[in-house]
Amino acid sequence: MEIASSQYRDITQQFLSKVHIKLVALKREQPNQFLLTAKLAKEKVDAANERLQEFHTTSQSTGLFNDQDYKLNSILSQVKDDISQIHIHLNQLKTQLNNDLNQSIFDFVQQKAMKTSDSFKKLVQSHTQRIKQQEEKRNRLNGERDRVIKRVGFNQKYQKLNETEEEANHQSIQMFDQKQNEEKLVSMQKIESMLNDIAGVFQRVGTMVRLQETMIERIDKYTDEAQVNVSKGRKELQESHKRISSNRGLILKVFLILFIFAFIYIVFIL
Amino acid sequence: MQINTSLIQAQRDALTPILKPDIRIPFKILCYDSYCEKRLSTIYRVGDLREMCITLHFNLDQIRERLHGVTAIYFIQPIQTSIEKMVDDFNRDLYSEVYINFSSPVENTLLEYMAKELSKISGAVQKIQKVYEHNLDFVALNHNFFNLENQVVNGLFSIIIALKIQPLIIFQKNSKIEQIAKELIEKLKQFEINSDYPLLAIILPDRDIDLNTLIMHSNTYGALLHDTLNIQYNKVKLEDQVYDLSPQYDDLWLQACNLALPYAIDKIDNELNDWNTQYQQVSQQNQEISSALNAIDLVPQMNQQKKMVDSHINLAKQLTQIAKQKSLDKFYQLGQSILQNDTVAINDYPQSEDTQIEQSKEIDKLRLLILMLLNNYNQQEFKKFEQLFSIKNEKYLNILSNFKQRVASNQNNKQQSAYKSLFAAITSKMPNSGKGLLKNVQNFLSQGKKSAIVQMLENLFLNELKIDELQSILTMYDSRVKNISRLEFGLLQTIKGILVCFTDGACYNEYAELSEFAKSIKKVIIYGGNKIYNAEEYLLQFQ
Repeated sequence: MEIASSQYRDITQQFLSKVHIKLVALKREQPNQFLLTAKLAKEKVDAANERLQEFHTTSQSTGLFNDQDYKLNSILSQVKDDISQIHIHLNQLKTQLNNDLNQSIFDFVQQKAMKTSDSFKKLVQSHTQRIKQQEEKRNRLNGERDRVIKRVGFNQKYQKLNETEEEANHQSIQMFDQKQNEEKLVSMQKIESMLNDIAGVFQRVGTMVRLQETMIERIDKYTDEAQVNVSKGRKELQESHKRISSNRGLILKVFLILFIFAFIYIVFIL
Repeated sequence: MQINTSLIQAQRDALTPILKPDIRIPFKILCYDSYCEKRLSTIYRVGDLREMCITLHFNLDQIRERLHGVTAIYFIQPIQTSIEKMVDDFNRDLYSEVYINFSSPVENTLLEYMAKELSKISGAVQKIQKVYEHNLDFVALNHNFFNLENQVVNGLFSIIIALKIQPLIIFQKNSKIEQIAKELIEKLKQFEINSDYPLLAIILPDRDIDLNTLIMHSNTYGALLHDTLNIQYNKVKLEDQVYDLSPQYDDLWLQACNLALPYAIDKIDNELNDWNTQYQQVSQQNQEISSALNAIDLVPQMNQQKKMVDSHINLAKQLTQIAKQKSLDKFYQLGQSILQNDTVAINDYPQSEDTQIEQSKEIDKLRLLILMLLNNYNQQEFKKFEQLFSIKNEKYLNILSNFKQRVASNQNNKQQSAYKSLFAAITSKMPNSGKGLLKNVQNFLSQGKKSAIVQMLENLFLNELKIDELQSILTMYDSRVKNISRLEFGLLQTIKGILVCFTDGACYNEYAELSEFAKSIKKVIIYGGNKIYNAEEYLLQFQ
């Protein structure tokens, strides 16, 4: 008894058992250059997507005290490299769009690359946003700390020793913050320039819309077009038939008149 | 257990192994015959195929060039002609690696034929990676609407498997459907169904219980569109343009299909307004880099949205124009009055001065006359209408006389009428609430009488007193015990949903009614048939 939960059945063996010839292994064809490049590009896209995923998970675990900026930035620059390589591949592929298959594969890879660069862009944007927010938070905290320290200073004068210690502490924190701020500023600038690069490469709205149009096409579009063409063809045939038949009538009439004249000429004049 | 009652989702799940045979394949192309094209085209768009790394897709009838280096996936019906076409592709050495998928189980002889033919071509068999057979003999037109294309037994079986349910098959005794039901039951008995699966009541009524719904005029957007412009597998052709009515990609269609036309138009209008507001918001945003980038992101989505709204505006415009010209709302009202045994005055019919318009209405007149015949309308009144309408189309006259004979012989055939009257007794006892009030509501907004199938479901699931009466009409096969079992009241609580399948034609009108009923009982109702007819297509069978 078969289990109905399996919706399909592999009948390859059943089929092969009905083949009564000796099967000779085929020589494996070398895929052509285009397909190889396309495959490379696709793999790069997949790799970039994986990196973006990694970026996402890492940035989730990043907090005020768990700074992984270095790691994040290195991922970003890797992805940026990936994307520029994909772009080189795409440019190579672009020169070989000599058939439908190549065109469709090119479109496919391009679409995927666009999606990737899009999510890259979004991640970078939200990352910058978060850095800014953290910066603000840090500044706010610093301000509060200043106030707290001042109050401590006024009310508890006898703890001067402590106070100076605090002060020293505070100063070192401030210095550390300043250094960090500079680093942040540099990395933000880096990110912004990256953003602009990517935007320059991929913000071709026209292509996006064109690709989008194909994406929502019905897959039986061809069949419809064929039907429309057939009906158009039929209409034209009918029209030309009409034209021809009206011409035919005219020709007959002309000949009839000619015959009458010839008849009159032969019978009465000759 | 989580089940999915969406046919579209079920179909998608069932199609996935075909389209993704091996994730390591970087690029694939897909070839299908016309039968399988319908299964794919109501579910997937080009973008979905791309998502699965299918970069090109072809109908087998399409002229194709040799494409070496890519994997080809075939999805075909196991019939001689499709296999021949595929063998021909091997002859021309089109592709270098091939997966073969059959839409239903293959007969042994056909598999032998295929093996024999492919053996003749050198290197052909080696190209074949896998051969699979599936159970995909239904077309999902909506989440709860299907078309079996005359493959009733295989189709219902495919649906049962795809939905992952345990069926309770309820069919009418002594009817045309009985044979089909028995075949299906035989087929089911050979399979073991997971006992964790939820129950689904599969109702197989005889079309004879209700021809009215197929013939009468409707007031819903979907049914009117199908009647006037003909929806073919979720496509409508209008002036050389194809409109795609996809429940997955066209939210408006999903919502408006079963609404009365005025409500549907309201919905479309609202959607247009929403779009305009969104457009204005986007275009008024300041010119900062970030908001400009966001706006660019929105372009494709808004473009798609606009396209959807535009297509419905075009369709609704065309529809209202036709409805106005042919005064379809009046026909709808007249039909409703006939169903409720009210007399309709000849003056109620809005005759046009223009003979051409009158001629265009012949099919609508025919529908009204047949509706009168089917509902034993007063003979003299019928004659008056017949005279007034004076139908000239030969085909239509044939159909009319055909129906006259059918009705007359039905009245003579006592046995059948006894059976019919038994059923009528059950269905006609339902109170027609607010009948007087309804007359005052104008045009398409008036609510019609409940159709026979809805009444039948009410009796079966909601009316404890009727269950004994129904026992003599209906048989229930319970797949849990693999046997016939007694109908009991309270079934509704144990089942996940209901599936209604007509094997002699289904229509959008009935679909709308059942969807409405489904809301009232808070259960899923899936509906469909061997073919989805509009009134004209249905009547033309009776020439």
